[in-house]
Amino acid sequence: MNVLARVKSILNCGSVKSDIKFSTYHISTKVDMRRVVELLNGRIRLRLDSFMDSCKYLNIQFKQANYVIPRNSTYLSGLIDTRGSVVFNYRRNIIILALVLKLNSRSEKLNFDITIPGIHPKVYKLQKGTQGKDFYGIRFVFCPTIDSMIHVYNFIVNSRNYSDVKYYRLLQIKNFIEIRNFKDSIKGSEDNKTYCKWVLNFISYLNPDYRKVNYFKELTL
Amino acid sequence: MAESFFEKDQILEEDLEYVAAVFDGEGHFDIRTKKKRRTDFKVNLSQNEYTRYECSR
Repeated sequence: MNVLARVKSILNCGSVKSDIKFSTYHISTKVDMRRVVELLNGRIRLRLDSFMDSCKYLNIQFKQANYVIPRNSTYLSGLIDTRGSVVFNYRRNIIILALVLKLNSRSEKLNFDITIPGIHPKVYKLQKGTQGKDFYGIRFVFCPTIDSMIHVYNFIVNSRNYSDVKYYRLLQIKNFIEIRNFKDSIKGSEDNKTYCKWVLNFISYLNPDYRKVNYFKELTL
Repeated sequence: MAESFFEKDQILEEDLEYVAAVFDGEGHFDIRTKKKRRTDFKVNLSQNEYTRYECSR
């Protein structure tokens, strides 16, 4: 996983292990843990309880982070890599970048209003699941409109993501803006084929299940 | 983008913000308690990003 390799490379400590399902980045020595807590102190915004316990355990004074995420901040890139989704909505003919976090007093405080220049993200509160297993989430949507996609593209080009799938998909935005109007062109025409090829390329990248999308039969080459 | 360095380790500020977000997203700061057997920090990520972040929703 490039994300964890990047984290290891930045911190210059710890190890990454992988099995079939998961990759895990691991720091286990007290020296490294102390260093990482010192480096991240004042930047952790969500995992506060356990981070504050760590500060206490290591006798380090906890520093509060700023919840207004600055312009072009790589904090958003890290959250996109771990909790974000980049999805193509065929019906609306739009690429949507969204972030879903557990709803709590910390995630509610996160403010991305100035993080991506030109975008004021839409924020939704979610409740999912059946009784007793409810999940309360908060969803930040960064491409609520067609016009906002180019701003997300510019942000990604400047800040870089390390999740292969998400970075690849976000880089397709610019090309998509040029061909998205071909969706309504005559079936079998060169324009329509170009559009269908783009969709297939987008959904099939590192995704063996891409044929399961409900609009797959509508894509004609 | 600002290129200020974290003085002690010469790590770029923007890189530290990235790491903080990865820990905020999927990290664990585990301190040994009666329930938890060991003290360690870790980040778990699924190998199949597509399954985790799209099909499951």
